[in-house]
Amino acid sequence: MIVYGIKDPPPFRRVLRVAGTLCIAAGVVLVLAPFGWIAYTAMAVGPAQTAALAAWESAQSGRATPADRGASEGMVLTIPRLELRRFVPEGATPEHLRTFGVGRITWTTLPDRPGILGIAGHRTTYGAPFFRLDTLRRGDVIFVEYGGRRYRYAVVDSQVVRPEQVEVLSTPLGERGIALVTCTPAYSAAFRLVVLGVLRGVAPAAAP
Amino acid sequence: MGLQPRGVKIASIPLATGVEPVSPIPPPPPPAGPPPPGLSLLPIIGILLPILVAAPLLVAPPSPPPEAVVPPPTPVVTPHTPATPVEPTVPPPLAPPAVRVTPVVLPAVPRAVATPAVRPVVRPLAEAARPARRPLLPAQVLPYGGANLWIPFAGGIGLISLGIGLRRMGSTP
Repeated sequence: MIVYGIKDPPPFRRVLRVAGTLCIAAGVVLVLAPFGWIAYTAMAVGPAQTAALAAWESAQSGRATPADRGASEGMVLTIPRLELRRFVPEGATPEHLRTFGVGRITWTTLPDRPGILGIAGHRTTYGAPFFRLDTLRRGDVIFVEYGGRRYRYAVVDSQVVRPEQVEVLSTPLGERGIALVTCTPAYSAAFRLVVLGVLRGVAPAAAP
Repeated sequence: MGLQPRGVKIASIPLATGVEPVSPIPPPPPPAGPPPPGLSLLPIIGILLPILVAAPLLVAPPSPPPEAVVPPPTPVVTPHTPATPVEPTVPPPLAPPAVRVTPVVLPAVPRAVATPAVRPVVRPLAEAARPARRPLLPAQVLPYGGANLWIPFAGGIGLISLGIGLRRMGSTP
């Protein structure tokens, strides 16, 4: 049947419309991808953190199973203001950061030695443990449980540096501090946010 | 006397005269006027341009993965330990690097007694006397703790805008 008044568009316009549709579809996928990535990585990190914390507490209480032995090598970071409690494994390697969200920078010192203890964590993905790290203020308390002791740090400073400015983790000999490192601004890895704290006290770790 | 129909005669119009038995003729094309207002490439440019401008500022330079970079060995400058001819040829057991070892001072021996032909190995003793090696910081970067999630998001917004613009271009007569 011939219908007058309706003509097929020229071929190039059809191509434009198809290309436009494809662009919209691809754009929607790209826009939703970050949200999916955040949700997926959070689901991946959550169980690993829970299991690691349980293993670490078992190791500290002496009820460790052979499978929990590795957990005794790490430490536990607690930041009351952020309502954060995370098991921190040895080494801020990409694998550890993907598995636990945080990790100790191995070329920094341990809590029981002079120097700065560096802990790196994800800002937006993998559970986003340090998402609100920029809300820490001077005097906020940071606890680190390591080797049967509980180290209490107080936040003294916060800096935004470039990734290669590792000198921010250096400190005069004899001073013991902590540096929490994450990416900034959020959703970007262009710079690093470093929250610095100094040791205020050491006490025996409370029983879990 | 003819029969007069009741009621009112409304009309009697011959319908089939002068009309072709087809659908109505399509309306003539509108007179050619000025081209349609711009298809709005400006919004697309307006969205993409800030992204392109901001990208170099927000994207970090490519950096090696954290801690995957092993720092180069630290060139520790230590005073040169002169080779003492009477040092034992068999090196003593090497102490762990973290343990501070007091340099061993051997008693002086008359040079005539020594045997200069044999050059003893002095490296283990010299290394044991060195302080614990501390890794260099400048060879590393602060660990990567985030993700450039804004890039796919901004790219998606740009693609959607581009797609809308293309579809408008394709549908404009």
